[in-house]
Amino acid sequence: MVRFIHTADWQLGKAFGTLPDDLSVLARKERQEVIKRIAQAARKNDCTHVIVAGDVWDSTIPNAATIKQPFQTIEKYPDMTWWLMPGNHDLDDVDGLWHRVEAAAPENVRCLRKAEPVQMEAGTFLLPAPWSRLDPGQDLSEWMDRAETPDGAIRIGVAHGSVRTFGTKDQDRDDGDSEAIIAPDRATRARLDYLALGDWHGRVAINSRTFYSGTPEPDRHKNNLRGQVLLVEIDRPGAEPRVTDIPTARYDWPLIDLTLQVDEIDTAIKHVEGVLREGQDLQDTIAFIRLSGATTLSEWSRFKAAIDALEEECAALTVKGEERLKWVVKAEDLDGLDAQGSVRAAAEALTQRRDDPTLSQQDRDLAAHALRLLFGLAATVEETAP
Amino acid sequence: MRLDALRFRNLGAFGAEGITVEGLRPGLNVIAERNERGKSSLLAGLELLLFANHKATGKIVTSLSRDDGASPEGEIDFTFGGTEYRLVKRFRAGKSAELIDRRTGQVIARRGDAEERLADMLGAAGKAQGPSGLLWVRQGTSMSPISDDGHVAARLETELSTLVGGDRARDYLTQVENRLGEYRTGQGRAKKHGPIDLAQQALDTAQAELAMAKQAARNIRDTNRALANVTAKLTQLEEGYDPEVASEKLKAAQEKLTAAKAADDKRRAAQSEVKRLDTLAERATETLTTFNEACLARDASETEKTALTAQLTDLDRAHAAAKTAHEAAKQTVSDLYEAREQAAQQEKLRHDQESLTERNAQLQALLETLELVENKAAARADLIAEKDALPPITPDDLNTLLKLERHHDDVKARREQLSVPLIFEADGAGTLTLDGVPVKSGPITLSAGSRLAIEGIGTLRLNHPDSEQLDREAAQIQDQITNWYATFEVSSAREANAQMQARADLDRDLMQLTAELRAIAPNGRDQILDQKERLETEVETLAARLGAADEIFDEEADPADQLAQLGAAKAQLDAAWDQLSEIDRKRATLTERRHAAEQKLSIAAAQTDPQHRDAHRATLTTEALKADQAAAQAREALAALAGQATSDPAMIEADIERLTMIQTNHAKERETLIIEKARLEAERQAAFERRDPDAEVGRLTDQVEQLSTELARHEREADALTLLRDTLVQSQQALQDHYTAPVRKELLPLLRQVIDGADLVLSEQLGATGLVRDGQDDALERLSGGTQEQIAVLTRLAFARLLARGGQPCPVILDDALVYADDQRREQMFTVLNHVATPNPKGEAGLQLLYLSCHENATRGLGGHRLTLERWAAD
Repeated sequence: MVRFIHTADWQLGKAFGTLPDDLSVLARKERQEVIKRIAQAARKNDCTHVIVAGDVWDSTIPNAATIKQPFQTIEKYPDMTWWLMPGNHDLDDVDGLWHRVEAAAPENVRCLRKAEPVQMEAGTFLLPAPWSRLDPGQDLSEWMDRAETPDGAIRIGVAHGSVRTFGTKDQDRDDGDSEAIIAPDRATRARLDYLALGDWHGRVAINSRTFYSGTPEPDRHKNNLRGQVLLVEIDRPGAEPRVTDIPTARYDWPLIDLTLQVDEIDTAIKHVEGVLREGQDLQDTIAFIRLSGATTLSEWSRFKAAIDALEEECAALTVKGEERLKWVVKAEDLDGLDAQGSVRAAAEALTQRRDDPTLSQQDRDLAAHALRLLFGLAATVEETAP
Repeated sequence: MRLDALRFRNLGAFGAEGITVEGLRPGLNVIAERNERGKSSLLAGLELLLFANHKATGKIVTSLSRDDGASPEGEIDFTFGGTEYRLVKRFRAGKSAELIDRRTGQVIARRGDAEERLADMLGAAGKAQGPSGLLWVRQGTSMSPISDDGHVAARLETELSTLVGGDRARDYLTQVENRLGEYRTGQGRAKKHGPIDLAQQALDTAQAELAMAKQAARNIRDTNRALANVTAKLTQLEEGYDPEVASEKLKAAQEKLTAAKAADDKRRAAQSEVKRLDTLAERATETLTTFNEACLARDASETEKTALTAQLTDLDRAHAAAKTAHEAAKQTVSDLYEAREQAAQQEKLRHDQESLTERNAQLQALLETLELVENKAAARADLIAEKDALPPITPDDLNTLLKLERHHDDVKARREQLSVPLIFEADGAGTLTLDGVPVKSGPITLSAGSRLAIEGIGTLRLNHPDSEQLDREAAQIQDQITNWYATFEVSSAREANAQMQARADLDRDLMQLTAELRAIAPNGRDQILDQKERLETEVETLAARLGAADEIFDEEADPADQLAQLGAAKAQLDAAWDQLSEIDRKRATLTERRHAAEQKLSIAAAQTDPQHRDAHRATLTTEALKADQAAAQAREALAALAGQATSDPAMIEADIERLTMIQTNHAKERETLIIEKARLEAERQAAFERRDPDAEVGRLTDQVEQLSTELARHEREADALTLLRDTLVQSQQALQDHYTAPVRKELLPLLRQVIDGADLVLSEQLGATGLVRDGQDDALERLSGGTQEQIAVLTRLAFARLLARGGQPCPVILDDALVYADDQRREQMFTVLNHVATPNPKGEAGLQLLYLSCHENATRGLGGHRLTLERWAAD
């Protein structure tokens, strides 16, 4: 039986410019820290091999520290062999990254730089499909079909890229970063016992022998991002692998698409709280709420208060789309706006402007914004009133 | 509220005796008192009682308290809502406040309750100026602009059923403007250090940093590519080059070059020898050939010289014969020329003889003509002398004389015709004669020159006034006639005419004679004399020439024959000359040729001896053969060397050069690549010691996007604030226009009573902010003090009328409020005050006005109900 950890897409060195500076540093550092958790998971599960299926680094030109820092952790686990393969982010090209990696790596690191069988351990061979150019123009795993290994050997493919076809990328779907495609049935064609894939940051099982491990520490707001590695166990050649998720991430990155509806603000607040609290602690949650729909001033005040409270607890909470909301003005809003006339007249004028179909959307949005500001002033007055 | 009476004691100027103003009425009340009579204290007391708490001890009380420490106190009688009240207040010691129903004398409220009831009735709790500042227009404050504090507005809002933004709208607008001011300047530009400015700066900085980071990443990648390129080149260089093989190749080439150079030296030496021997053989052959040719040339020259000498001898003979012929021809031609000269001389003599005869004949004729001319000339001179003896009278001269005489006769006739008619009546006593002729009775005429003799009495003559003038004129004419005669030396007209005719006849004769002279000698006598002299000279010359000449032969030679002979002789002479020239030319040529032959013979003197000639030729022939043989041997040796195959040293040298360059270039290129590789590695290493380049690009890209979003958000916020501000302003303006209309309606008639055609600009607080006159808008503060004062008073009156109509009547107290007004304006203002104080035809009550002034004279025109300050009788 062979047992190993399948991971990918560490993307060491990735920057988090949209996060606050302190959190950005932490998030970046955490991508190094997660290696410790991977090593601990491997040791805990008696694994002596960790296969990283591409994109170990985020760039082909990381600085020296970014290259060396993971090795400081890895060399502390000399009983494990770490198999690193170039992906589309860390190509083995003229930038010479992998020369630098090999020069800096400890002895328990093996770089899979050539598309040729490599014996992982007795009776087990790795068939890697490393990246050496950004646009390979072919399925790099194709060679595996013809790869010769001794009879009775366990064949483990290692590849990086998408199993979908070109041109179907969806911004919100985790299709990976690369444009390359890998035949979904590569495991069958190449008689692979397991095909360890990288590129998609979410954990996906393509079939019983083909898995994306996802990234061990998420780095973006996608629907299915919970960082983990996969423990893969293969009893014998041809046996179906047992694949077990082992969570490794510190941070959750939930994305909440929230469509507000008038009179339903409490439901929306509950939904947000539910999503945020179901994962890591809020202090390790970097959340993003994308707003749409319509609301009223009073409801928005309640929602804003709730969000502000959550924001204080979260590592980061970003809300966008406020300017796209439709601000519903109710008669009681207008009545409550002011007891006297000109403010009400201004509110009515702005409402009329907001709903004027002859104006451009930009002008209507601007009127809605101004209306919201006016209601905001009224709310402030109410709040400060004795 | 309407005031009815005021009473104060121990307050300001009023001591214990106090002061009272009784009998205030609705409408206009006037108190005109000089200074120091206590008007100011009266108003101060009114204010104290109406607005100060009876427990008050502050400045409002102390400033009115007197030195004796007595407690200020007072009473105000007023009517409100149909009820007559009395307010009684005492301050400091014994302080109290009571509100009493005057009709019943019952105390309605005390202390605080009394003051609260009063405040409710005043409608202006805590406002010392009364509702909207109406109550008081104090001395010195009359110019202060007035604005509504909500009372008028509340009244209007009730009436208009509308809502005005009021404080909240102003507060919103202020907040919006403040917030907008954080973003943008008044000109709409981003405010320095405001959110937009800061976001823009941050974005600019991030973009600049991003560009730098991208460049840094590009630089690293360029370095990487360059390093890979250099490494590949180095590998390629070392894979395709073996230094030992290269060295061996070079050594072999150098040895080959040494051998090739030695063979080349030998061949060059053989070539030189062949060349030298060939030259020697060639020279020997040339020497032999030259010798043979010289021998042949000498022989030919000898033969030629002999032949030429013979030819020259023949030519000498021919030359002598030709010369003789030439001399003979020359003599013949000379003789013929002489004969022709003699013939010409004879011809000329004959011609001279003919000319002499002709000239003599001409001379004779000329002499005859000359004689005739001289005769005619003498006759002409006689005629001229005769003519000159006669006076030169012309027909004009004669006409002048005749005119004078006729004029003289005419004058005399007019003199004679002067007369006077007379009537003679004879009485028979005497005789009357006229020019001696007796005259009978009847008319008679006494003419000038006539004499009328009266017998026994005397003679009468005509004394006509013109007679003297006519006598002078006749004398003058007579003088002219006399002068004429003297001039021409004649005595009568007839004589003059005869002499004039005689002179004319002489002129005709002269003309005839002159014509004859002109016909004989058209060019005059002098020309005939010149001709005569010339002919005489010619005759003398010809006669002299003929006298000197030889005999003249009658026979004449034929010129044609002479010419023919001469031509033939000339032809012979030319032919003889040509022959002579040809011989001379041939002789010169032959002489030259013989000279050349003699020269050759002198040069070739050595070859004269045949024996010597042959021996020398044999020697030369032997030398030439030997030289040929030596050259042939040398060529054979050279051919033998050329047959030996050797490499070209130049080719080998080029190959050595090539191999050396390969070695050098390889070393150089390798060194360059190694250095470049080291440099690039160092550069990359240094770059990788810095921040993670792609991570930096990613971070800054995110940051730029975020900052762009933030900037857009700020811009959007500022745009929204701008829209909100504009909308609020527009809404307020629209409502304000609607809201101020009633005030304007009330105020404008009053204002136009004072300032014809004027209009006012009202603020949101209903106060006047500007005056419009003749289309010109003036801010209130720019108006004169008087006008400001009048507008302030009029605005108060308008407010007071609006409040009165709303059921909230309020007295207006004017304390010397028109001190700045001129007389005319003051009169107009007085009219307005009376107008507003008088009930109108609709039944609306007039305002209660209390007008206080220290100018008695100035208030005489005001009218109204006059009040006086009286002592307040002690309780």
